[in-house]
Amino acid sequence: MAEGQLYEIFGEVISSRHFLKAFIITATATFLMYFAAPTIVKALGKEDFLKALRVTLSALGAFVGFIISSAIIEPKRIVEEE
Amino acid sequence: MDIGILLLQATFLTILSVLMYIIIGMIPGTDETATIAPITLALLAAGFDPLLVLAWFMGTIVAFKAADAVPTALAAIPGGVMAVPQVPDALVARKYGYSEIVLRKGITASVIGTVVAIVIALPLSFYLTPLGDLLKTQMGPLNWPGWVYIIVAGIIVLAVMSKAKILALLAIFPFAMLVQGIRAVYGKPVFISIFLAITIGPILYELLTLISPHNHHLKRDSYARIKLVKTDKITLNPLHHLDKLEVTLSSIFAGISSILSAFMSPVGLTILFGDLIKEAEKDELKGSLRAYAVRDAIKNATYIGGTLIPLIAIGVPTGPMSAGPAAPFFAKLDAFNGLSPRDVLLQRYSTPTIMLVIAYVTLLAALLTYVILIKYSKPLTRFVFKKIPAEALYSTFLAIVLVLSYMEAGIAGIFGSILVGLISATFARNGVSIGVLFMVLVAAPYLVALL
Repeated sequence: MAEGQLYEIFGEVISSRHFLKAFIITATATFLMYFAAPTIVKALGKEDFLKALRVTLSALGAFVGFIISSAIIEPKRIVEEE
Repeated sequence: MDIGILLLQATFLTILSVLMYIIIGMIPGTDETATIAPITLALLAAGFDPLLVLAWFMGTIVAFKAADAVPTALAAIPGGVMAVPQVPDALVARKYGYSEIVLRKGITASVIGTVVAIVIALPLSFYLTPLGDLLKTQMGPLNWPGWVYIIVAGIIVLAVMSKAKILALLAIFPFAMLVQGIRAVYGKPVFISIFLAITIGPILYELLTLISPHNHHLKRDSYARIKLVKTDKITLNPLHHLDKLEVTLSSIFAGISSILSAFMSPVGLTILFGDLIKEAEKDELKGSLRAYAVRDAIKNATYIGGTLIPLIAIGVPTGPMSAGPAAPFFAKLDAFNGLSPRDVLLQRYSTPTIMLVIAYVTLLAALLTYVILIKYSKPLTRFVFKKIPAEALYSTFLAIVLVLSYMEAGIAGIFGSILVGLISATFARNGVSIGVLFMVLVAAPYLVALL
C-alpha cells in the first residue's frame, strides 16, 4: 500500500509510514536547533542566554517540523457535508 | 515593568495563543496536558516573564476548552477528553436537527463560565493566601507540610473516583517508587521530564503498539469518515443563544466548580453536574441542550479556578489541573535560579498588577474566542479536518518531550521518559485517572519515605 498500513489511534486514522516521516522531520528539526543553539547564541553575541534560547530554539524547530509535515502529509479523514 | 508595555505584550501573547489553541482544540484526540504543558514549560524554561507566560496560558485554556466542543456539536467527534461527556447530548441535538443551536449554546456558555470563574476564583485566590502559608508549616502525625496531606487526600479521592478504583489505589506506591528510583538514577530531583512523560504516555503507548506484531485491532483499511452538519450564519448577540434558565444554571455551576476544582477533577465535575441537570429535565431535547451548555461553562470555570487558586493562594499543585496542565508554573527552574515561576510571579508583581493582567487577558481571550467561533466555527472545523494531519501533531509533542528530557538528564532522560510514559499509560488505559499519577509525582518523596 502506498501510504503504509493505516491504524486508528485516539479516534484518528494515521498511516505508520507517514507518522515515521513526520516524527523524523520534527525530531530532526528540534534536535538540530537544540545542538545548533550554542553557535547561534554565539553569533548573536548573547552567550549568557544559552540555556533560555536553547529551549526557545528547540521549540521553534518543533514548530517548523510541524508546518513541514502538515504540508506534505494528507490527513486521513473524509469530510462529508450535509 | 511599565504596566502599559506589560498589557501590550500580554495582548499579543493572548491573541497568539487563542489563534493557535482554537485550532489544536478542534483536533480530535488531543489530550489537554500533552498539548498545553510542553509549550508552557518551554516558554518558562526559556526564562520568559511568568506573568506573560500566565497570560499565554489563560488564553490557551479559554480557547482550547471552548473550541474542543465545536467538532462535538458539528460532527459528534470530541475535540478532547473534556468534551467526551458532551457527545451523547450532541447526538440528541443532532437527532432533532438542533446541532447548530447546541453549538451556539456551548460557545456562549463557555464565555459565561470564563467570566464567572474570573469574578469568583481570582479575588478568592488572593483572600486565601494566608491559608497557603499555613499549609507550608509542618504538622500532624507524619510531620508533613500541610499541603502534602491535601495532595494525598486528593490522590485517594481521585483514585476512588477512577474507573478502576482498586488498581488506582494499588498504583500509588509503585508509581512513587518509580519516580524516586528514576531520580536516584539521574542523581538529581528532576520533575519536568517525568511530568511530561506522564502526559505523553498514552500517545507513546499507542504509537509503540504500532511496532508490535499484536497491533491487528488498531488496523483500518479506510480513512475516517466525518459528517459535518449544515449551519447558517450565526448572530453575535449572546442573548439569542441561551435562555434565562441556561444562563442561571451555567453561572451557578461554573461558580461552584471554579472553587471545587482547586482540589477536584475537572472531568469529574463536568460529568457530575452535567448529568444532574440532564436528569432533572424530563424532556430529552431540553435536558440535553441544557446539559451541553452547562458542561461547556463548567469546563472553562474548572480550568481557570483549578489553575488560579493553587497558583496564587496555595503555592503547591493541589488538584489535577494544577498538577497537570498548569504544573510547569510550580516546577523549580534553572531559568529562575532554582525558584518556581509561581514564586517569581508573586515576588515580582503586586496583587493589583497580577489581578488586572489576568482578568484582562482572560476576558480578552473569551471575547476573541467567542467572536471567532461564532463566526467561523464551520470553516475552521473544515480547515482543521482537511488540513491538519494527526501524524504531525503527535510528532511535534513527542519531539518537544524528547528534547526537554534530553536537556534535563541526557540520553538517560530519554529512556527514563519512555519508561515512565509506558507505565503511566498502562495504568491510564486500565482505568486509573491520570490525575492520580500527576499528584503521586508531586508527593513521591513523602510517600516513599513512609516505606
